[in-house]
Amino acid sequence: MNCDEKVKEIVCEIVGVSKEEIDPDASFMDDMGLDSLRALEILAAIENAFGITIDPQRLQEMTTLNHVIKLTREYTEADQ
Amino acid sequence: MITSRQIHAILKQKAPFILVDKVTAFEKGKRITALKNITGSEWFAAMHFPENPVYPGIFIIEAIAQTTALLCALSAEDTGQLWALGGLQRFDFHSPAYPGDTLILDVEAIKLCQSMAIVHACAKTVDRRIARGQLTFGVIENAQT
Repeated sequence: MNCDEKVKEIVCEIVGVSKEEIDPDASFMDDMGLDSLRALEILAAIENAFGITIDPQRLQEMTTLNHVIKLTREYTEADQ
Repeated sequence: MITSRQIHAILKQKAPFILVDKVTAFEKGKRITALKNITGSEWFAAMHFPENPVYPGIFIIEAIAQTTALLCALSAEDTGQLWALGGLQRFDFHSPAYPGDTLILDVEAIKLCQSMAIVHACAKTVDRRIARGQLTFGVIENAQT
């Protein structure tokens, strides 16, 4: 499973939407009704899965699946 | 060491709803261990259940939440914040707790930020695991207590 697929799987599990149904550009808060604590949960799960540490200040950028994928790529590529 | 007086000063709850008796270990920003002695004279014992007192599961969650509030407040060096439980993830009860048991509350930070936290917690006795799971917490801004 590649990086993007793994992020998608993590996000879908936490937001409770299937991989087939999730809109990668839908807003977690406005469209899916998530709160900031769920966003932190996503951040922690991504860190655990990829062995990276994301600056909590970047949490505000994690507003859609595509944004989470972009941020994860940034950290995993910086790690290599 | 964190004294009982400090615990009472930091937590916004008041007796008899303070469910942490003692902090036995604390590592700033990382983990905390606290104890809660369950006694038969507590008010739940007469009602839950009269013939077979069992410490309510919701109180175990509250004891973990208060332990986490101590970890967050002491780590942030801002003991005035009100940390509130936001959610439980994969939280399970494994065994009942009874009067006479001492709950050992181990809380480890998975992610601790300025106003939010995710922790893994385990409540146990010397010989049984009582409950464990992941919990999220947030600071309530402009809280009135």
